[in-house]
Amino acid sequence: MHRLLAVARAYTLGMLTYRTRTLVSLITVLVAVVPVYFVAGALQPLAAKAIASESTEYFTYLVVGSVASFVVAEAVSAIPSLINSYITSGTLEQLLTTPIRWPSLLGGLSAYGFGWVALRALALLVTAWVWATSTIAWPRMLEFTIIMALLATAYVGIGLIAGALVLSIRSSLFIPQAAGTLSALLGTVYFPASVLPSAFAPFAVLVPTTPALRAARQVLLRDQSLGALLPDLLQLVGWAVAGVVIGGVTFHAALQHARRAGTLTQY
Amino acid sequence: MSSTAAAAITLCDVTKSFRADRGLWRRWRGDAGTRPRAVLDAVSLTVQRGEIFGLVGANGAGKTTLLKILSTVLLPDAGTATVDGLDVVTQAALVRRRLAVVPADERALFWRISATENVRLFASLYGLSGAARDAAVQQALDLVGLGSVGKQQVGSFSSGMRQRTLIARALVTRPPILILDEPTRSLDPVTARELRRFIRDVLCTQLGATIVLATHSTEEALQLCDRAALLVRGRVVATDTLARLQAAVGGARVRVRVDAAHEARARALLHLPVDVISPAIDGLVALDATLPDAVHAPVVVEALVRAGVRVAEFAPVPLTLADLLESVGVESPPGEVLRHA
Repeated sequence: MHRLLAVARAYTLGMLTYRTRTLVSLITVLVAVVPVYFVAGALQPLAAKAIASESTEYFTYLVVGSVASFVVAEAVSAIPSLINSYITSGTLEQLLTTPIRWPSLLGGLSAYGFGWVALRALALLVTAWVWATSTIAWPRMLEFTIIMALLATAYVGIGLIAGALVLSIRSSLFIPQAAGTLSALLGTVYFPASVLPSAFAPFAVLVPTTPALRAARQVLLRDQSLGALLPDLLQLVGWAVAGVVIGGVTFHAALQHARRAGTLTQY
Repeated sequence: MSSTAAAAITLCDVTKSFRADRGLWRRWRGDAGTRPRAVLDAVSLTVQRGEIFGLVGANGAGKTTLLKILSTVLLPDAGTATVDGLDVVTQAALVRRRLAVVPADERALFWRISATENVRLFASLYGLSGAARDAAVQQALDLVGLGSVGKQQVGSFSSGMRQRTLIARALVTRPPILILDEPTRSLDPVTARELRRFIRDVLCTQLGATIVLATHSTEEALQLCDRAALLVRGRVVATDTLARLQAAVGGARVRVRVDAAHEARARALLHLPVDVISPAIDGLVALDATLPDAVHAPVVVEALVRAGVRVAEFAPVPLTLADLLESVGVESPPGEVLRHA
């Protein structure tokens, strides 16, 4: 943990020097809510029945979905992107000559990204709370955070596999993009699974975003406790464990391969 | 105690091959470029504690590959390598605690944070914390002359300062073994000389570190290294002190600058071929000669003066990598077995 925090500190200090970029990114999130608000308002009469079990308002339904999208995007793309960049600069190889283990290294390097996602998500939720007519159950934020953390863990497995590919063949083979797209299309981010074409609807259960969003909306928009959402939570925990185990084993194997093939640094 | 037991580093028949082209499709088709190419071929050597050991060779000789194997980021295909008696493959985690690497590429630093933060990160990675870590960071920066600018972003530094930051980062935990990969590659001659002095006087003499240094500059190796291994296409073709390597190349080389009017006389005394014409500048002509050894230098000067030759300069010519490579037959066609010096 000591080493993980040291890497996180160094990386965060570096990222915080990009002041303008940080500010613009935050403003973009807030501005992007405006069209979502109006479009959601226009679609409310059409969507109301389909989303009734999770939210009374389509706008807040979309906001919670967007937060999950941020989390998934970071989880699948952070590791391959960092590996790619640090292979090019030689930093990865340098850090691996020290006593740090790879899980701590990746954890430290990813910490800033997830922290930034949390901040953007909070800004989005606060903006929605100001605008929305329905309420957001703020006391349930801890439960909501746990659900999002499980969602991130489930998708980090895919990020690790993509990172392993970058280590081995210097390409993630578009796995992060594919995972993000499937999550958005099948994971009830913008619409419930019930409106999916019948050929695709069964696949919604194969996407970790589906149980995560179902639970997240119940907690935050319906003020439900985690205890009432046990099936979704167990499913999410299953995804998270599988993701970490499969991703971890794959990444470890790729690191050993990279040490044999000499692909830890630019080639 | 045997010399191997006392050694800081040993390599025994270390071999490593790479595929030049890693394209999956081309590899599947079996294209020529995808076949493994030997980068290290049965390399064996020993580095004693407290010495500065040079790995000298041209680009692509395998120097960096060897250093990467020692620093555990690359696995050898065959052979064994130990650092402080620890195997670099099976005991990699322990090896990493005993050595620090100064890479050739300064991009390996975190450019957006200060030198202090860069060094602090590495101190933390090696397990230091609290006041002890902060003191070690300041001490390391002071040692390399960056103590007063530690708060500045590394991105605003010159190449020399970044190189010093890399060294401070490696020094912060005072590792017994330091690996330096072409440490003066991007430095101007004055800064390079200062850094070499620092390596010799501070790192080796004062701190007692064992240093393995890769370089393609024989000048650097001559100034710094107690011993050196000459690497040619992945093979160690000679391991000795630089003075002995120089002698093996063929005696001591000197440059004699004489009055152009006395050139023929000087050539005759120095046994130089007459068909080599060097242009005269300011009435002086420079002649490069090889003496049997450095001891002969005063005798030759005396003979020249006695013969009435006006000698304006008589100076040793530094050994060049080209001289060394030529002496071990590096001009030979690829595939030919190199003779050992």
